[in-house]
Formats: sequence, structure tokens, C-alpha cells
Amino acid sequence: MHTLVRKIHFVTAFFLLAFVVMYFVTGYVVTRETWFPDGEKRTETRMVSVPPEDVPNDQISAAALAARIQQLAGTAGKRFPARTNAAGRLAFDYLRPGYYAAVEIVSNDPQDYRLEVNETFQDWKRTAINYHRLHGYGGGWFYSLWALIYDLASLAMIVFAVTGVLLWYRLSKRRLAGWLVLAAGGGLTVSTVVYYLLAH
Amino acid sequence: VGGAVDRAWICAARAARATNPEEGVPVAPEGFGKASRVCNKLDERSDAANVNSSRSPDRTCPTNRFMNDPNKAKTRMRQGLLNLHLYLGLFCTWYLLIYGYTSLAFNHPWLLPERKGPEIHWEQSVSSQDGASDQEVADAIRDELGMIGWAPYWTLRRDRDRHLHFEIVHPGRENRMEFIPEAGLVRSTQQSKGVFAIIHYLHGVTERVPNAQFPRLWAAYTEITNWFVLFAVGTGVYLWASRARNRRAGWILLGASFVISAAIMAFAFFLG
Repeated sequence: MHTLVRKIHFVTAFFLLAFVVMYFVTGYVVTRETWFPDGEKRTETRMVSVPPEDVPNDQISAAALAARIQQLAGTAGKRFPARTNAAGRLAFDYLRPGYYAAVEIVSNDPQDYRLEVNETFQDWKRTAINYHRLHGYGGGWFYSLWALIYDLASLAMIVFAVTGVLLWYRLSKRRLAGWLVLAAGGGLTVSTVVYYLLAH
Repeated sequence: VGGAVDRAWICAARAARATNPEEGVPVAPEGFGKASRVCNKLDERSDAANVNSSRSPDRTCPTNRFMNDPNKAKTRMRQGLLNLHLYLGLFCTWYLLIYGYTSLAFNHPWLLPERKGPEIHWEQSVSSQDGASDQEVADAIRDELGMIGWAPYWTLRRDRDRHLHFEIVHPGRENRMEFIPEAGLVRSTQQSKGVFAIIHYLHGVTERVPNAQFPRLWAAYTEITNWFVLFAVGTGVYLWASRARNRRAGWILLGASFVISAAIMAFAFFLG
């Protein structure tokens, strides 16, 4: 049993080490955002005219339309559901670490179909934050794969914690100090939750 | 003959562990069940001995005469790192559980269902707040009533009777407030957000909730856990690498997983 638990602890760590480290390093940038200086970001705007034969038809699904617009606009990144912007136009967002694009359908006349593409090439800080916050299935095969790895890294956190406690219990003969340390963390967690539940 | 070989192997394993604990225990050959079991026990005990290192050595054990080994300093460092790895890990266990669970919930929101409590209405008189901006009035009312939380600017509005409407929110509760200046009265509709909303909020939080002192401990817990995980990665690899068994296979696995992970992250940045 001990050997099995140790193997699970090690194998989980080995497979997901790089992602776990990435999430905690970028997580630090997220939680201490003001400590880190902003870098320089670059924004570009361009118009894309779509030939009549390439204009997407009205019958395709929302996801397919987002993919088609991405292709026509020549942008990259994870696709998000379409939204209506402040000007009442249909707009699409695409995001990957270090890059964000907002594409707006300026004219949906099939003879004069035009897209306005606003691309932002982000600084290192926003890139780190986007690495940390990139989640959710869909928006392209790669981002579904990313979401799967994200799930595995999240599960790894739970597995590390549980197998770590089991390993300590198995290895240690004098457990009072361990129980006290475990109780300190547990007490802090429970009392924080209770504090917010009861706080006026 | 089998029994003799078994006993010989057990002796060799004990001697090997005693002379150089860093090298682990030799693996027993196939077919010698008892030797194999004893070797595994010895292997587990080498970890247990490290954790309970402050216990005085058993002088009756003949293998302890090897304790003045030149590798003693290395062994002590390993023991120290193992203890730090274990006990800091135990302290951070709860944070890791919450962190892992809430991370999963970002992909699967049903894991943190919304469980709002019933609405509670109350009213209380407050002192006059003349001359101040709406934001200052809201903040002053919150402070005077001893409430915790933010009064977001986007919730501030005046109705046609000049009553000020605003919200005071914190991770566990939301209060919809109405300030009636002429009566010096505040009416509130209070609603609990439920335990899942609080757990969600605890994911990586270091920000300060206005008027709340106790949750600063959670911010410290976040900080400690963040550094602990990076420390645990380093010590975990070191502790594993200091054992002899399957080291090459482990390095290959670790290297391959690192390269694949780095390639996926690079793909996201350059080609995603």
C-alpha cells in the first residue's frame, strides 16, 4: 500500500511537474500583480475585406462562424462565443498567452463584407496571467487539450495533498507534531470559511 | 539452500543500507520471496528512520556501528529536507485541496453550485453624511455599521427621492443597502452567498477585504503555499534522486514530461 501511494505521488509529480510549476509561478504574478512592472504592449488595427465567395453563410453554427471569422481575419488563439459590442455589431474574441484579438463585423453586406481586426501583442505580465487563466473546453482542439491538462494539473494538486498525508502517516511513528501542523492548516481554512459565512 | 541464500541476501541488504543509506536497498533477486519482502521493508524503514531522525539510534543494532559514515552530513541534509517537505506539506494540505478543487471548478462550474441563503431585512439609524460623495457616504456607512466588504462604485445610484442605493459585498455575503438621508436611516437586504462562493474566493487570494482583519491570515497562507509548492518540487526531486532505485527511468520520465509540457506551452504562445 505504501509503495503504491508513493508511486502515485511520484508519477503524478513527474508527469505534471512543469505544469504545476507554471501554474504556481504565474499564479504568483496574478496574486501579486501590482508588485510586477507592466511591460510594453503593442496594438494593431487592420481592415479585412472578404470576397463575396468567402462570406460565411447564415446557416452555420455560432462555433463554426467564430472559426470561419478567425480564418478570414487571420488571427490566432482560443475562440470565444460571439458577442454584440457597444456599437451593436457582432464581435468575436480570440485569446492565447501573449496575444488577444477582437474581430468586429463592420459590414455584413455580402458584396462588401468587411472585418475590423484589433490585435494586441501583450507584455510578459499579461502573458503570464493568460497562461494562468486559460481554461475551459472548446475554442479549438489545442485549447481542449490544454483544458484537459489543466484538469489533470488540478487533480494533481488534490492527489499530492492526499498521498502526501498518507505517506507522512505511513512513515512517521510519532505523529503528534504532524497532527498539530495538519490541524493548524485545517483550522485556518475552516475558520476563514466560517468567518465569511458569519461576518456581517 | 534457498533459505541460506535468502538469509545471505537479507544480511547483504541490511549491511548495504547501513553502510550507505543514500544508495537505498539492493533489490532481491527473483524467486526469493522472503528476501524481497525484507528488502522492501528495509526500503520503507529508511524513509521512516529519516522522519523520526531525532530518536536516538538503537545501539543494540549491529548496523549502527556504521553511523560515522562520511555521508552523514548528506544524510542529515536529506532528513532535514524530508522533514520540511513533509511538515510544510501537511500545513499546506488544505490549501492545495482548495486550490485543486477550485481550479477544477473553473473548467466545471457545477462543482461549485450557487447556494444563496434566504433574504434578511434589517434597518438601522446612522449619523448624517452631508457633503460627502456617494462613494464616501457608502464607505462611511459601512464603517459606522461595522460591516466588512467593498462598496463597488458601479452599484451606487440615487433614486428620485435622493435615497442612495449601493451594495456592500464580501466573499460570503451581499447587502443591498438604501440610505435615507432625511431620516438618517439605512435599510438593508442581506443574503448569504453560501459556502461554495467562499471556497471559490479562497483560490489564490491575497487581496484585503475592507475592515476584515482575520482573513489576512489566509493571504499569508496563500503566500506560504505558493513558495512551498516551488520548494516541494525541488526537494521532491532531490529526495527521489537520492534513492538508487529506478533513477534512470525516473529521469527519463521527468525529462520527457518536462520537454512535452514546455513544447505545449511554447505552442500556445507561438502557434496557438
